[in-house]
Amino acid sequence: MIRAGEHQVSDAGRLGELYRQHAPEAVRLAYLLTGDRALAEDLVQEAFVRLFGRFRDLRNPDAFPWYLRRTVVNLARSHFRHKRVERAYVASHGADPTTAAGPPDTGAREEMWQALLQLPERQRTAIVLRYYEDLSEAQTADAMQCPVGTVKSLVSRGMGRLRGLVTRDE
Amino acid sequence: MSDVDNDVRELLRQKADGLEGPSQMPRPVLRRARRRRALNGFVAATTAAAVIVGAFLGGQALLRPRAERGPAGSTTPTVTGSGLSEDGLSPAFAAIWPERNADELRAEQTRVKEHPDVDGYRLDPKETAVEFAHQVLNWDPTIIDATVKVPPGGAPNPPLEVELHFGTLIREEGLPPQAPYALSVTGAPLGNTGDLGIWSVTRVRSDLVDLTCGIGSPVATDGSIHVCGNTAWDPSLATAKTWATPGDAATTGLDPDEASPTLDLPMASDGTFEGELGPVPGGFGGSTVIVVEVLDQSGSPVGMAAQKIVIARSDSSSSPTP
Repeated sequence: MIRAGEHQVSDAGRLGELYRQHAPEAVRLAYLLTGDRALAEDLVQEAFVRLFGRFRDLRNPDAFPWYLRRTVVNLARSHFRHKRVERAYVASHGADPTTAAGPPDTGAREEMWQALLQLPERQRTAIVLRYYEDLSEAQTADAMQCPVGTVKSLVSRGMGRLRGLVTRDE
Repeated sequence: MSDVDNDVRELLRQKADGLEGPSQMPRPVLRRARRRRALNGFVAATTAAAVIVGAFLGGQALLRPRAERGPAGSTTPTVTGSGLSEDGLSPAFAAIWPERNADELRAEQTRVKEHPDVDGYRLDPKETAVEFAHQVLNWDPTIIDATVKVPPGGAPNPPLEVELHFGTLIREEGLPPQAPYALSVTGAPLGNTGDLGIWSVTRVRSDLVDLTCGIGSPVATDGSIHVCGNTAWDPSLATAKTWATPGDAATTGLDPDEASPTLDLPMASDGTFEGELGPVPGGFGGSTVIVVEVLDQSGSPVGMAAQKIVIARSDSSSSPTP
């Protein structure tokens, strides 16, 4: 019994340490993918539940951040696919100050943020992974579980739309 | 790197930096994780038992004489491989999106079986068509109305046409039924045809893009394709463009790649357009996907026609160099 208790304590300690180390960055990524802080925290908690649930089965526990990133991307994608409310959600909550992180932007930057949130979620995911996470095209394809060519296409299309917005504004 | 690239990078960094992440793990996370771990263990044990029983039954079936076995089930893969069909006029592998050859299809099929929660849309022709419009044309899936048109006759696993209307919900709210925005996406289960068989898009048409000269005939390597048609969209506001992409590998989705011939089609006042698209590079392989897109005044695609055609190699290009 004592051993089981000790095991549970060390288990909780180890998982707690992983959470402290990686949850903040995962929440930032989820926030950039979804545009909503509360949703981002929910997704990250779910990601940790899933990963902790099979932590001993992970082929390489040292690659935990990689598994976490991939799980967050999958969960965000799954969320939008199942709910089918991506645009409606952003439209109704995008300007809600309770969901925003930090002081509101003004002008062109806020416009670009709104445009980014309105991109199809796969385009946005590819852009966030390439430009925020600084992943290579191959790493992005791995995280999104799609061919490298698809990543190129998604980034190109998404950036094309953002450029169009900036050009029109000028 | 352009200014917009830098702006996006800086914007993302700033948005992320403005967010303080959680410092302590909420208690329910650990509780749920432990419950999940226990559930995973149960599922693994059950699966292992099922595999052992299945292997035993499968071994027994194999030991029976061949004549006693029934015909192959409906889940037998029917992938024929890339290249030409027997008549040489149509591509043997018909899909244009998201995969373009049998190897990509097998990989996708495996991936969907492993992650049905993420890629479950591939199992449904309607969902696949909606996803196509979302990813390729940037249509908002929340206002797409999709209808599956089942062809007459009782052929097993026929290709299905899914008719998509963009903005139908808005029209239902009382706006006049203008701008049809309709897209007809043909899909087919090209690999497994059972419950876990995925659907692929094989052709796209639109009531906004009427191609009046057929583009289905094989094109010669380095040859060109005559593209002509008309659009029902207001010609003073519409633009049209066409391009060809490699037909045997989905390297860029349906977007043009570096070697793709592309052409802006001049739009006449009556909505007609015409042009020569080419040359089609030999490096494209055995087939090419021809895409014609009509865009509105904001540059958003409102209609598309896309299909795969055969590239017919001339004798000189196929014979070995002495």
